Formats: sequence, structure tokens, C-alpha cells
Amino acid sequence: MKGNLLLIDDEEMILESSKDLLEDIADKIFTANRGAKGIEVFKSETIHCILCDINMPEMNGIEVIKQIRELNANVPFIFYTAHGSDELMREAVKFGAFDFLDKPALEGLEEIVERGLKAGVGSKEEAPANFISEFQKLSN
Amino acid sequence: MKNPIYYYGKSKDAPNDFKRFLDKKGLSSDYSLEHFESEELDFFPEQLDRKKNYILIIDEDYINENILYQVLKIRQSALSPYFTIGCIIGKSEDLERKSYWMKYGINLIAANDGDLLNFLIQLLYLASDGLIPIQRFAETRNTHAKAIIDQQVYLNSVNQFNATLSSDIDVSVTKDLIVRLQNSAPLQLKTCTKASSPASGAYSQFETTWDLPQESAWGEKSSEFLNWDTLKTQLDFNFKAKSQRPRRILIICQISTYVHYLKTKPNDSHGLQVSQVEYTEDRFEHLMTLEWDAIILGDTPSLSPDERYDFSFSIIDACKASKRDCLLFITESVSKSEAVRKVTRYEKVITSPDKLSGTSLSTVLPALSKPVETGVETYVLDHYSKYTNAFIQHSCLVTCLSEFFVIFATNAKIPAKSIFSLDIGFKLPLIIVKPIRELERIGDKTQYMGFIFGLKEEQLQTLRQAVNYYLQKEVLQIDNNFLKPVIEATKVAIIEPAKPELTATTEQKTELTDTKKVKTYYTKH
Repeated sequence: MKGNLLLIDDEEMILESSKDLLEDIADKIFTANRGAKGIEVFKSETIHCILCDINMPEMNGIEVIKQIRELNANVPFIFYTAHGSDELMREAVKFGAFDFLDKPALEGLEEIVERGLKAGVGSKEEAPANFISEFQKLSN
Repeated sequence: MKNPIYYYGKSKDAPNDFKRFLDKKGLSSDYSLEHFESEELDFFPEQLDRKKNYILIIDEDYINENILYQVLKIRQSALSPYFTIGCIIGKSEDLERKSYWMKYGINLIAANDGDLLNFLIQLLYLASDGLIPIQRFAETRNTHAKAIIDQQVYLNSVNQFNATLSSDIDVSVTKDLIVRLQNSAPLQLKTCTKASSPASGAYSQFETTWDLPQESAWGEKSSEFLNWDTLKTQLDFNFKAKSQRPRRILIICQISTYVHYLKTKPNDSHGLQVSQVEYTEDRFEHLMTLEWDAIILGDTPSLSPDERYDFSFSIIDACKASKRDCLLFITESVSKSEAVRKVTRYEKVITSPDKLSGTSLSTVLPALSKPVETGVETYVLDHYSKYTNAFIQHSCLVTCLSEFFVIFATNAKIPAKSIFSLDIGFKLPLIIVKPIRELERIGDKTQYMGFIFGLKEEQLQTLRQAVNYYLQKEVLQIDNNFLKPVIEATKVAIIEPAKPELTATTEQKTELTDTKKVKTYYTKH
């Protein structure tokens, strides 16, 4: 099982191109062009990972993650960010950010989403061992 | 609620004397004394009671590297403010040689041939921050004596280019600092290149790194100071120079979490220098002055999850600003390492969703024990070595002398529990305490009170004679000739302490001491 992905972005072009790039990675991909719509999809479908723009009109990415977390859901959240999103990114970390992707380059999109889906499906990494292996990587 | 006094030793007399003394002074309702004879010692309390002062008294027979390591762990952790630690050695002659034990956090040393009850009073006074009344002694009244006091410092490491010192007083502004080592010529340090003030809980208040004199100066044969070749020869006998140093780790967590770790790994130092503090906002800047190799952010119940991240961001911002290569481990994190790294643009962050526990510390700390390469062959004078012992001389103005304390004025800012000594013909070791009365400033100098400790009975008697001799005389200089006129003038030993002047507000009490001598006390109403 690869897991289901929800894409939330107000830019239709980003939604379409991301969907094309990620179709082999996820079982199903759902899209929403507004935050509120994304939350409705999340409530009605089984979602294992969310890829959401941090800067959106009406409801931004922080409001979306806040409402999703209020539903007691720990689903991995990956944010699209752009220049000038620093404050929002710091806020996002407080609600549980899995990773960030710079727009428009979207470097590492597939790899990050794949990890996010894996984590959402439930293959939990052993925390202390992970801690140590991460440290060893950083020390080398 | 009684404050515990734990005595660790084989002697039956010392704990019995202490118990009798507490009863006699009406302190048994405030203090309980427990005697531990097992050599398998564990000082870390299951549950720290923050309303209590813990006093540990350890007999010399029980001192070994493991015990000193445990004492050091107390000093380098949030347990430190709650503990006062004393040690009883066999003979006072050995005190100077063994004073390096104080580097670990032993506050006071007494000798079996000295006055152990005075030692207990001093421990009680230190632990209670001056709330225990002390008996009054005769004091010199006309003393404005120039003197040199020796400040205890520790030489931590030295190589051809620089030396690192730890001290309780900031010496970083001094130039051409002269450090006196045991049984050796003095060492001249040119300029301080790095100064940091570790968090309270680390074993000294300040750590400073100094340039040593340059090569040409080292070669000057006529110099009164130690040259590199001689120093290196001395060090080579006892140490192996290494181009590595242990990693410095700061753990920010509740003391109960850290104690749980210490209880599972009491002997395991991992070659790390680990300090532990509990989170307090006001200590943050202070914390960040030290060059940590890694900081572990554990349980911080006083912070909300939001505040905890803001605190993490502040640590990262401080590391970035100082261009430090410090690893930050954030536990209880809802966000992944990659996310925090991108947000902060700081690569050396690792997060874990799990809570920090004693068990996880046992896994994480050994993984961190890889030493840091320094690139310069350095002699590290570890905690277990007496060669670390050193002192710096300060001029001061002694304003009062009694058999129990010395009062002196100096420009230096001296924190409580700092160790000094004053040479009056023999050395008076001093520990700085909260004064028993208000002491006024003298010009730009502050007056400090130091309790005298570790004297043997004969030295104490000589000191009494000296105080009697100089009671009303003007004293303008104190040095190693101070006792000469006293010995000349005093053909018959005076055993009685000199009587302080009686005033309307004092009441006289007389009692037999354990050495069957009459002592006279004057208690204030």
C-alpha cells in the first residue's frame, strides 16, 4: 500500500503538475483549490499525507493544519513555501510539519512525498535509533 | 520536614558526635542524621525535595573516582543548589594536596586532627545560606592589613600555545596572569583569548583560555617562570597529550529525568562533559556563552509546546549568530528534523517525537561520546589529577581576623563558596560565605567573609593566640611573618578563646566541649 495523498493549493497549475509528477507514488491523489475544501476532503476520505500551500487566500496553510490537528489527526503535512514565508513556516513547525518544499522549484518533491506517505501509512521509525543514526550522519 | 545530613564513613564517633551536637544545639527538629557504611554509594535522591538542604559528609576512606564522579554530577546538574558536601580527611597536612577534590564540588574539607564540630557548623551555615546562628569569637579590632590572598583555580588543559583555566572569579580582564602550580615554578599567561561563564551547575563559574608566552620568551633561561620544555617534561610524566577533547553536552530537562539516567549509569562518563540544567528564562543568555558541542532539549514542563519551539529557535539563532557548530536535539517534537532544518536554515538539528527519559539518555549519550578533534596536541589535566590544582594571588585588605573567619576587602567580585587561602605563617584555607553581619564597602572595595576550615587543633590554638595578641593592636600587614611576634610574646599556650567584649545585648553560656575544654559562647538576643 502506497497511501492516499491530498494536494491543497489555490494555483490550479501547481495542483495539476504535482498530480502528474506524483501519480506513481500514491494510490489515490485528491485535490482541493481552497483550504476549506481540503478539510472537507480530509473528513470524507482516507488520507495518508497532505501536501498544502502555506500561502493561500481565505484560509492559509496554518489554518488548515490547525483544523486538521483539532480533528486529532497526526497525518504528515508537507508545505509548499515561497520566499517570505519564514514566519508562517515557524508557525507550521509548532503544529507538526513533516517537511517543506520551495515553490516553484519543488526540488525533491517525489522523495519527500514518498517519505510522507510511508510515515502516514504507519511504518514508524524507531525513535532513539533514528536519533542516533541521524546524529551519526550529521557528525560525518 | 527535616533536612537530611548523610554521613558516609566507617567512623562511629563522628556521626555520634554530630548527633549529640545537633541535640545540644536544639537542631534535631530541623536536621536528621543518617549513617551509611556501605561502600556502594549512591548520592542521587529518588525524589528531590526542593524545600530541603541536603548535606553530605564523606569520609576520606570512601573517596574514589566513582564517588568524585558522583559529586561532580551533582555540581554539574540542577541538584547543585540543594547540596552542600563536606569531606573528612585523616590529617590536615594533606589538605593542600587533596584540595583538588573541591574541583568536583566538595565544598569543605576538615581533618580528623581538627575541630569536626566547627566543620559541621560551617556545613549547616553554608547549606542554610546563613540561617544557622554561629557562636561568636573574639575578633581583631584594629586591622587594616595589606595581604595577599591565594585564589583557588584549576588548570584544565595546556598545550604549546595556550592554557585553559577554570575559576569562580572572572579573571579574563587580567593581563600577564601568574598561575602558581603545585611544586613547580609559576606559569605566566599572557592574554585571555576566550572567556565563557558556564551555567550554574557546571563545576566552575568561569572558564578562560590564555595565550602562553611566545616561543622566544619560552626560551629565556633567566625567566622566573616555567618554560614550555620544563612544563612539557613535567606533564609527560603524568599525562598523554592528545589532539582530541571530550564533547561538551548540555541537557535541558527536569532533574528527575536526569537522576533516573544517573542512577542507571552511575559510573559511565562516556568521555563526555555533561551538564544538566532545568529550563529558566533568565538563564538562557548565560547558557549560550559556553561552547557546547550538543544541546539536548528534554522535558520543560514550564513551557507550552509553542513556547518550547520558540525557545528552540532562540537556541538555534544564538548558535548561528556565534557561528557555533552545535548539535541541537529536540525531543517531544511534532515536526520532523527536515522541517525544522529548513525553517531555521540550520543543518545541525535532530528532532524526536519521544519524551526524553533516563533510558533514552542512556542510549543517546554513549552515541555522542565521539571526541572532538582539536588538531593540537594538548595535555588535558582531568578531574582526577592533583596537577590541576593552581592558584592566583590577589592583593587585599584584611579588616578582621578571628579563629573562625577572616574578613577582607577587594575589588574582585567573589561569589559564595569560592575558595581562597591566606598565609599567616601557615595557610588559612577560606571558603567565602554570606557574612554573619552586614559588611560595609571600603571605598571601591567590597568586604567578604571567609570561614577558616581544615586547620588542625595546634594551628587553631596558634590562631587563637594570634587573635588574642592582635586583639587591640593595630595590624597593617599580614604575611608569613605574622605569627613571629605572637610566638615571641606567648610563652604559655592560651587554650581559651579570647572573650569578646560583653554588651548589654549578649548572654553568656558556658559548656564543656568534647575535648573537655571550657568554651564560652555569647549569644545575641
